[in-house]
Amino acid sequence: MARMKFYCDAERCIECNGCVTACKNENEVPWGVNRRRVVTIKDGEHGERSLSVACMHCSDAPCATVCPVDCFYTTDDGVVLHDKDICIGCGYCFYACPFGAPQFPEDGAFATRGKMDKCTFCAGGPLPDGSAEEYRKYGANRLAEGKLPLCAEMCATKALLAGDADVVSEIYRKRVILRGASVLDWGVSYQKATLRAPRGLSGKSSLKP
Amino acid sequence: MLALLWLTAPLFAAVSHDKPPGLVENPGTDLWREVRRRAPELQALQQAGKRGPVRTQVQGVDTTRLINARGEQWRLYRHRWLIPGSLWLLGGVAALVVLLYLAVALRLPPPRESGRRLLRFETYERTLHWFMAALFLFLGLTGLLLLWGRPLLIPLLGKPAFSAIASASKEGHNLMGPVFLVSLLLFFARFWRRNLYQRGDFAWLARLGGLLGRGPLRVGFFNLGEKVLFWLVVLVGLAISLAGLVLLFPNFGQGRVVMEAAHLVHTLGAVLLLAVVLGHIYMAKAVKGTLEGMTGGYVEYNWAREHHGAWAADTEAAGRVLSVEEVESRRGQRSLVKEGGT
Repeated sequence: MARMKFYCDAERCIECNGCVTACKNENEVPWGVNRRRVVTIKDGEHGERSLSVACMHCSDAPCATVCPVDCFYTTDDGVVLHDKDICIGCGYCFYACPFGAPQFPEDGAFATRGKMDKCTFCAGGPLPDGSAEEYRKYGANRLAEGKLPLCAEMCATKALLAGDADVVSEIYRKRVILRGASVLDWGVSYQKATLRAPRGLSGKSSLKP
Repeated sequence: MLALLWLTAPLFAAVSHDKPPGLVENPGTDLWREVRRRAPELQALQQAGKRGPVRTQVQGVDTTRLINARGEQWRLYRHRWLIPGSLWLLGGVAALVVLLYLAVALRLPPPRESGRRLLRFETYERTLHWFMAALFLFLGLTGLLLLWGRPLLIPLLGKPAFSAIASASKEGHNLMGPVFLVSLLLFFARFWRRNLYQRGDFAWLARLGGLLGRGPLRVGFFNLGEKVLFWLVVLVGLAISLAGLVLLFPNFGQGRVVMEAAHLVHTLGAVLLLAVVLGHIYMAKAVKGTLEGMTGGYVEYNWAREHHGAWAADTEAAGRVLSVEEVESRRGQRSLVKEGGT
C-alpha cells in the first residue's frame, strides 16, 4: 500500500511559485483560497531558502482529531481528505494544523468562514471519482487517473516531490549523498561538501571550484 | 492568555512521538523538525526587521509562518482538559443542584401571605433579563453541542444528521453572539449601581447569607451573592464576548496563536459562567418567592422583609407597598394568585 507524501527540497526550490499556480489552475480553487504557498526565509540574504508548503497529509493528522463533526478521513493511499457535506466551517482544523493548510472561503455568518478547503493531494473527495460534483467541491482527482499532484509534476527544478514515501525518500537520499551534506546544515551545505561533484555533473552543479 | 498557554506547555510535553509500527517515516520529518526548532529564532528576526526576512507571494493570515507549534498545545488543551473537564464540572454541578433541590429546597415553605406586594423589577428590567438569559442559554447549548457533540452525539445520530445540527448551531452561535454582547451592555447599564458594595455585605458573607447565626441581616436591593453573580456575569461575559469576536471575525488579520488564546478564554469563561448560572437557576427556584420578582415583577412583602430587609424598609417608607388588589388593577384582569401560586 502506498503512503503518499510531499517533500520539498529547500536546496532546489527557486521560489518560482509554479506549484502555486499549477494548483490553483488544476483545482479551480475558490477566490482567496491558496492550497499551496511558497515561503522564503532570509529573503535576499546569504543562506536564502524557499519551501513550498501545503497539507502534509499527516499520518496522525491533528485536524482530524479536533474536527467537531469528524469530517476527515485518510484514504488507502495515506491521503488526508475531508467531506465538505459534513464540514461546518468552524476553523478548528486551522488552529490545530502546524502548516497552515486549511483555508476558508468567505461564507457563513458575517461572511467570515465557509466550508474548509485544503490540498487533496489531487485526490478529489468522497464523491464518485471524476464526477463533476467532485471537481466542483474538491478539485481534480488525478490520483484516480494514475497521475501525481500537478504541483510536483510541474516543478521546474524537481524541488517538490510527491508520491509514495518510499520512492520520495529514496530520491531524496540519493540527492543528499550527492550533495555531501544534509539539509540540516542549511546555508552551508554546498560549502561544506566533502564529496567532489560527480564527473557527469561537472559544470552543471552549483559547486564552486 | 498567551502566558497561560506558555505555562501549560510542560503539561503537554509528555506526548509520545513514537511512530506506529509499519509506517514509513515522511522524508520531510527531519526538515520540519528543524524548521520547528528554528521557528522562534526566525520569528524574532521577523519582528526585528521592518519587512522581515520571511516572505511569501501568497497573501493571507499567517502565510509567512512556516510552522505553528502552538496548535498542538491548543489541541491538547481542548481534548485533555476542556472536553472532559467541562463534562465533569457541568455534569457535577447539574447533579448537585438537582440533588439539593430534591433533598432540601423542595420542602421549603413559600413566604407567608401578607396581601401586600412590592414592585421588584420593572417590565424593561424583566424583559432585559429574559432576553439576555435566552441568548445565554442558546449560546451555551449551541456551544456545548460543538464541544461535546463528537463524543456524545455522533455515535447516536450519525455524522450527516449531527453535521446539520452542528452547522445550524455554529451559524446561530455566530449570529447571536454579538447580540448577547449588546444585551450584556444594556444589562450592565441598568443594574450596575445597585450592585456596588454596601454596608452589611460582608456581614452577609460572614453568616453565609443567613445560614449561620441569628437575627436580621442588613440587606439592600441585592445581597452580596447576587452582586457577585452580577459582576461575574458582566466581567466574564464581557471576556467571553470579546474573545468570541476575535474568533468570529478572522478577517482582521489576527494570527492563529491569537485565536487559540481567544478560544482558551472563550471556553474557560463559558464553562465557568454556565456552572455559575446553574447555581443561579437553583437559587431562584429554591428560595420560594424569588422567581416571582423576575416573572411577574412583584414580590411578597414578607419575602422582601426576610431577604432584603433594608430595601423593604426603604420601599415601605417611600409608601410604595401595594395591596394585591392594586397590583391586579395595574395588570388588568389577570389573577395574581394564579400567577404567583407556582
